[in-house]
Amino acid sequence: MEKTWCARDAHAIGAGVPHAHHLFDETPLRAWPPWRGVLAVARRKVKTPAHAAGMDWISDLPDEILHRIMSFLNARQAVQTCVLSRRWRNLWRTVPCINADCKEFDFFGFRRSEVEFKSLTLGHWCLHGNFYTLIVFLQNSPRLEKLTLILGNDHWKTFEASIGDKLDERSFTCEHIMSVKVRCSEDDPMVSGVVNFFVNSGMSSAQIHIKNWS
Amino acid sequence: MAAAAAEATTDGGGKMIILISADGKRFEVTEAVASQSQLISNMIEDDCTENGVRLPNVDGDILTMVVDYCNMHAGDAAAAGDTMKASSTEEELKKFDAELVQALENPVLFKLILAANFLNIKSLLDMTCQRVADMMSGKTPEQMRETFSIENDFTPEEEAAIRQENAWAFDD
Repeated sequence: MEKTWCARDAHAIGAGVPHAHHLFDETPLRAWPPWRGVLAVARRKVKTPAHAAGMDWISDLPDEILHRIMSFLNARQAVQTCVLSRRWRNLWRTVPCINADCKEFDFFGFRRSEVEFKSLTLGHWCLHGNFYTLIVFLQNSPRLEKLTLILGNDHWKTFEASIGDKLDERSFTCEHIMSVKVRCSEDDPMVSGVVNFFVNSGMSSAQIHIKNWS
Repeated sequence: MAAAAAEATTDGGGKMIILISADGKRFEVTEAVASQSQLISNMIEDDCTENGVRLPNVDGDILTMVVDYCNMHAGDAAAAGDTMKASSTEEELKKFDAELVQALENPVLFKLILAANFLNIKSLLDMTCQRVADMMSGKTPEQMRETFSIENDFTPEEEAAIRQENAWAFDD
């Protein structure tokens, strides 16, 4: 206590890095008109306190942490959080990182959703139909920085019927993309195709990192 | 780390620093342990840990968990005692993490998330966020509300409209 400058310093530094996880920065909040908030409070007072017993801790977390949590969910569940409450309604739209699983993903739904991901993790299935889904994702993610492809034995075949296979426009612009990580088995036949795909799209092969399953 | 408390700065494993929780509890840890927090690591670099690091928004019981976690993950058990193993094995770490995370419930889980975020300890933050995601995973929105005591402040009409808007995520 005798010398508190250091403690104050600690606060200052703490205050300087409140959002140290740059993966999640620059996510614009869709600001809710303030009057809606007032209405919500008014309505809440009329309603019975449904959860009086427990405290809603999770909804008090900052957006960046909720985004981090949502990035661990599959895409469909992340979107489902929009009906939890007003606090959650538009959070999923600004999740910069998504874990997409073909079984619960409708690409036309995705195309309508206007989400701009910074980081994507996709499975083998996205390469099907001459990289159809991968291209759709890339075309719709102009702010993408990191892409991870996991080439394994996922069951994309069951999904085959519902994926289109003709794209009129196969080009895409991802000027922020810094790295593509590919995880695959050592003798995966798709790897060279994936590398060619990105090299032909203007990436250097040094940006493509291939890691074999250990 | 208690063993090393007597010799605050002469320990072969590096300097010790003191973390002070919001309720005044003091924790003495090696720099290597504390540096897992990016926040404290920056402070060490800036040479301002001399008189202890006050963490005004982290309670003592939460800081206890954080310090345990950092001790376990620093891999510098050797600094505290010569006969001890150089570092925890991967298996021990996994077990430790799994037990820590399993034991976490509201509200401790959320306090720990906020502490990990404030202290900027990425691995702990990821682990705790993953735990919350696991608690949500496979649940319907109704079940999620129940699990976390989230109050539904939509009118039924509003909720129906939002579901309609994102129908593709709600179709069975």
